[in-house]
Amino acid sequence: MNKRMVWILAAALLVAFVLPLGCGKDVVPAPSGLTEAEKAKLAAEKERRLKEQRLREARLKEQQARDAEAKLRDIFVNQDIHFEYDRYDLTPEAKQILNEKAAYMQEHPQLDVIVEGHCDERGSNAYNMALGEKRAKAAAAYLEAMGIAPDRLETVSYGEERPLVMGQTEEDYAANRRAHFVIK
Amino acid sequence: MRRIVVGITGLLLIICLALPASARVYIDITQPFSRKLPLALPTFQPLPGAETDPIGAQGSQKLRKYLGYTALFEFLDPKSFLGPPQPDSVNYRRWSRIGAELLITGQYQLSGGIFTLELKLYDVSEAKLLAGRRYDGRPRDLGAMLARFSDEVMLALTGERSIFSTMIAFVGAREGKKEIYLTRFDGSGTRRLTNHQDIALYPDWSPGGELLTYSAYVKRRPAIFIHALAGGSGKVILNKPGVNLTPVFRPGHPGQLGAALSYTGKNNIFLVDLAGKVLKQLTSGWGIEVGPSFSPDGKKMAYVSDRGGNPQIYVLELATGRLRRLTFGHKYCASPAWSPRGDRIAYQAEIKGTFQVATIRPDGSDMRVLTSGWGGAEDPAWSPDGRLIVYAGRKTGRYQLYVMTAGGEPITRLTNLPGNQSDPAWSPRGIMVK
Repeated sequence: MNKRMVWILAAALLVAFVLPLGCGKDVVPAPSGLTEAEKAKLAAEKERRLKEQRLREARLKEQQARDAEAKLRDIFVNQDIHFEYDRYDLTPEAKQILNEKAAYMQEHPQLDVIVEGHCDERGSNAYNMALGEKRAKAAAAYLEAMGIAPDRLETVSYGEERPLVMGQTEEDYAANRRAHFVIK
Repeated sequence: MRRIVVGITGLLLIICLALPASARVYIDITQPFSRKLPLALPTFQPLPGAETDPIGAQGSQKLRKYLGYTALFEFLDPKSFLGPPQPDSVNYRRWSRIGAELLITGQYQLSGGIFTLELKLYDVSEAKLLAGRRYDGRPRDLGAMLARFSDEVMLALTGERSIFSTMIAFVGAREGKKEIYLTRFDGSGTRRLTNHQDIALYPDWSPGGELLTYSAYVKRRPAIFIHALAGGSGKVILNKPGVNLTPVFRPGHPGQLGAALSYTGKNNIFLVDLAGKVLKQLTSGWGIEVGPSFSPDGKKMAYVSDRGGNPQIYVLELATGRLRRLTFGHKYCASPAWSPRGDRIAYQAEIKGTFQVATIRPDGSDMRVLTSGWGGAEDPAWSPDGRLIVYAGRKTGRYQLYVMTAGGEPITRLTNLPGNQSDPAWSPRGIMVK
């Protein structure tokens, strides 16, 4: 992400300073014998164009930043962590994703998050409800350990009641054993 | 609740007043594999002077269906019958010759909108009347009359009424929502009880049958509700942080519920009152403790815990705190249901990747797996007489309720509604909702 920001910044600088200068060369051949008034007019024209250019660049930069932000938010709310059957301990992959979630939450201190725990449909419905809560709590505890304030996290269990995918294959089950993150 | 049964006047026929209620035990209901009694059940006849009506044939068919529900009878082929039943002067030898040990006769009269039904149960081998009832009502009361008489038959033969005045509560899932539904013992008269438009789960009846408790989501978490069947809607009694799950009434201790709560940060089973006040913490686990079911005296509690590494059933003695693991041999056991007779605990066990219903003695001996096959069986619940088990099976690809005997003999599929039906709870006796 930092790399991307650097590139955006570099591109913006290029556009803001190098290009207008080049452009200026063509427009202003510096003919001798211009009146002060004409010179002033030319300078004003140049200034106006530069301003426009900067405005366009600023808008583009904002748009790019907004896009990048939307993408990050998209990842945050759509990337679930997954669990083994009848387990609520975090896998290394889950921890990796949680690290990213924690970073995102740190960069966005205004966001509060609901952590939902889900199960596949196998097993007792009641047990799964408790299991879903354990999963949500395991994820929340990890985020807390990464420095996220507990009052920004709410845990919810849906047990096996809200499967992501229907179906009874191992892949379906694996997709449903998850903690899901919702921005409040 | 309909007052249909109240509307029927049932008369004990004079002739059987002299009979003791259970002079002889025909069927030992504690023996799941006992022999079936050969029963002749001829088509109901008009009472002397009354006209023939299709309701007669309807009645005998329906009675056969009801009594078939007990899995106690072998219904003899009507083609083998040697003539009409002649209820007032039964020719016992004629019935015994075709192998009948029991005979049920029905006579009816339909006049001026009043429907009269006279039903009698005879012991053919002992040549005597065991039970007789006369019911007056309307034609639409036929089912209720037959249900009452079926219980009389069971009382005469087993010394105890059966399930013919009961209902089953269950979770019905349709279009992503789950609500609590009620149906009669035979799967008729199904209606939706709750209207949360969300997820409602784990219904359980109070010992008197006047209340239902269950969990339903309130703002993203399952809360515990009490619903009075006399009317109105469910009221939240417990909505603590975390989850509020699997409420069950504690028999012998009015006003007490067991429930799995996690407001302390850990998931444990607590004793609470009907106002939702926590009376006592019963378990002290670090993992998952859920799904309590009390012994009939309320002194012990079976429940699911993962303290041994995976879900198993444990039995807690409430007075002493003594805890014992009940199930071994299957890696995942859950949904314990203590029989109202106290002698067995039903549960679901994972066998070859599928769940099946098993029962076990409360001391951990004599485990029996009762179901088998594709789709599996889950969420067992006992009938109030302890003779039958209702469970959620998935033979058809979706969950529907099935009934079997306590010994595992299949009886019937109870529900055939759209969506899934699961988590049944059988009411106590004496509840009759149309």
